[in-house]
Amino acid sequence: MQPGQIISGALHGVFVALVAIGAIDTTPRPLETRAVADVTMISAEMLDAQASAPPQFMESPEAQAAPDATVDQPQPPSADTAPEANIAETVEDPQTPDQAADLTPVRRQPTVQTPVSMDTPAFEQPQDEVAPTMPRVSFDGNERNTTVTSLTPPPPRAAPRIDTTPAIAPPPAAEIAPELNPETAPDSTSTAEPLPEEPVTAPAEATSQIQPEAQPDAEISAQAPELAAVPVRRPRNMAAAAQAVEAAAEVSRRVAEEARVAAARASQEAAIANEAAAIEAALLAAQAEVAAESSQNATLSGPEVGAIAAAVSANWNKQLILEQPEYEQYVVRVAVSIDSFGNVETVEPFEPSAPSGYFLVAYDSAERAIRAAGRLPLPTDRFPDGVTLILRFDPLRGIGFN
Amino acid sequence: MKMRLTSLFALVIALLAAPLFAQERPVIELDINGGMIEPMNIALASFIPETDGAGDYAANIASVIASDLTGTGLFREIPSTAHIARVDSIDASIEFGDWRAINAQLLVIGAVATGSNGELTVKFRLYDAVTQREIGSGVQLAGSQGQWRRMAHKLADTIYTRLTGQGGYFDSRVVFVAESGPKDARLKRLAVMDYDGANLQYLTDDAALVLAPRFAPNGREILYTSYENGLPQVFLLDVDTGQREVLLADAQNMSFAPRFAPDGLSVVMSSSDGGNTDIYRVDLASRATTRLTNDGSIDTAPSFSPDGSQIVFESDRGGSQQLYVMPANGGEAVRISFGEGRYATPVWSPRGDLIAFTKIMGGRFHIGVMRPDGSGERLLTESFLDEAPTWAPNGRVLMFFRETSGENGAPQIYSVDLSGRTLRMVPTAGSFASDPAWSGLLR
Repeated sequence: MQPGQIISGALHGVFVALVAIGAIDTTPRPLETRAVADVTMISAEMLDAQASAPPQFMESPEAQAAPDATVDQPQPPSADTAPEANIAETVEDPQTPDQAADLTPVRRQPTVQTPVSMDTPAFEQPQDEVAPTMPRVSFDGNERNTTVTSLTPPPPRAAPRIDTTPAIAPPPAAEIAPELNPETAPDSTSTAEPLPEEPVTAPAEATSQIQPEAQPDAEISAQAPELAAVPVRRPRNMAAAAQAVEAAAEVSRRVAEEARVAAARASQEAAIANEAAAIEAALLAAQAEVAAESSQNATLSGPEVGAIAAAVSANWNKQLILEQPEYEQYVVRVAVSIDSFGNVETVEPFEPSAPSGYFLVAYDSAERAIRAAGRLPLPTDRFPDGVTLILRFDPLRGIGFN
Repeated sequence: MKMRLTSLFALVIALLAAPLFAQERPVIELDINGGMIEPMNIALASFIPETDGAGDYAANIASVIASDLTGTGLFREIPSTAHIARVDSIDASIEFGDWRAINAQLLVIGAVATGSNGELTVKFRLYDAVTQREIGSGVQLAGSQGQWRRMAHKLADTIYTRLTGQGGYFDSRVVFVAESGPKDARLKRLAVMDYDGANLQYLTDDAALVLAPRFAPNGREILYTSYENGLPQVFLLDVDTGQREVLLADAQNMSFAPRFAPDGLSVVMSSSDGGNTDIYRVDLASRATTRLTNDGSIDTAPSFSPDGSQIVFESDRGGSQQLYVMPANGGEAVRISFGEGRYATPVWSPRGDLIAFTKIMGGRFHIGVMRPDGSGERLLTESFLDEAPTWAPNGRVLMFFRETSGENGAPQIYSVDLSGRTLRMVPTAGSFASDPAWSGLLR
């Protein structure tokens, strides 16, 4: 038996089985109804006569049949949706007189495609205070040669690019252009009266835009490599021309290399400076932190300091110090050991460590003040082991001398 | 191995525990401002008479010491009636609480003994009652009973020096012109006294007008101007013998305003030659004269700087009476006074830091001081007539004379310290007094 026959037999068996169980609808389908139109044949003369005949007036036109309500019934607009106005059907207010069209800008200010750079300026000035400046247009009056388009304000003129990176230092061998206006010492022999100095005010700027034309570039040219300005002379022959071109290229490469090295050096120096500044800032922060920490642990508040100083200064008699010639120099620092109850334990000279002469007089008066003050108002809870005070006695500061 | 581990462990423990045992007190620095300016309270316990007959000396010596110290304006004595403690021995321990209770800051105790042959012995100790320490060590002076005042002054100088660091000026003398009689017929003579007016002695009679006496640095000689020979001449007086001589016997010109050089070997003075007054220097040994100024104006009242290198004087060479400084051997003079009014009688301080002067301004007279370069001018007094300042040996106090106005106006000697606060009249045994000149500290 051929495989094809087997397959065919299997498929027919399946078909028979489906038919047997009713899976396949075998009922006959109804016939479709076809629309039938009645056609009347007329001649050509009859058609012409109907077309040229005047229209017939109907005395009572037949009422139009109402449309089927079930068909094409328009849906009412939703309440929250405004009906769209058809712009084409808006009617102008007849009370508003027509305005004459202003053709002046059309005729006088044609849009000229000026070569305006659309690049975002690197340094942008605020533009909203002053109207942008119209670029100057060479107008020849020939309107036919102009392209009239809608007039739009020209885009703001791009500010000149200002590079904020440090200027490239000139190569070491490069000459520095001399100052145009070197400083000169005033003529001492001049007898002319100096003019009174007037307060200088900045000139009022016409625009906030940067005017590149007005920017002095002397400084830039002063730093420019001198070799770059050397012109290449016209060669007499092609070989010389090639050599000249090669020389010029070599010069350009050398200048570029030197500029690159200088830029790298400047960048390196700037990095070092920044690093040093960062280190210094870190050190200051650390010192401040240490100071803050120590102040929390072992220091006195302002009122506490004031109380101790007041107790001592109230007993400090400066009479003998002020007797000394040049007494203001006899400043002494005294080390005072105080126990946790504020009692003075020891008083010793701190600076100078071994006072003599008038310094000894100053120290004695300081020690008397400390001893006479008695128990000092030390916050005992914060200093369980006592404290060492370094008291600085400056005779110049105080009553009538500050 | 085990021993090594044990040692290592002990080391670690020691390192960890070290901070605990070595914990230091916190150190806090404070500024002491303010303070006060007032005399220090000093108590002089009654001096102990160690022998019979020493009681009066003991009381008098203590009184002079107290007077010297309180006269400075730097100290205030706590009267003995307020004392609650007694000192029975110069070597007894001090109950400082008793002295602090009466607010004494300083305490002086002393003892006096007399000898059978007129000797007098004085001992003293100085204490700081606040710090409860003795200031310096005890001092004993021995002398004759007739010198008890000088001994008291010396003790006061010692106390003053120990407390202020400056040299004293109590054991010093003042020579001046004692005046008597009506104003239009005043009699004048030289007199000398202790700085406090005690022990006044006359050195000359009133037969001739005398002016402007000056002590020699050694205190044994006095220069002064006298009209004894008809015209003013400079005389040199030996204090011990009373002998006097004209400094330049052959001179036919007026000479006045003398002053010793710091070394005492020469003298500067003014001399008038043909109506022109200039400054001359006279060598005392040879009496050789050197002209220091040669100007058509009046140059007078010269005074040496303490190192003898410069001379300050007054001159009207600039059109008005002003002060100038020139080298001691003459030379270019530099004007140092530029204030309003006229300046006269400049005197260089023994310390060298100031120049005292008389200033006439607006019809009033002032005693003032300025630095040698003319800066820092300060006026200390003002009156109808204040004139002729002279420095104390330590350069802290000035004496001058003040004359009252009117028909019965008369001069008196006053002292003022550099602050201008302590102005005192110096007693002169009831006589009028002018032209004081302070000696150096006696030896």
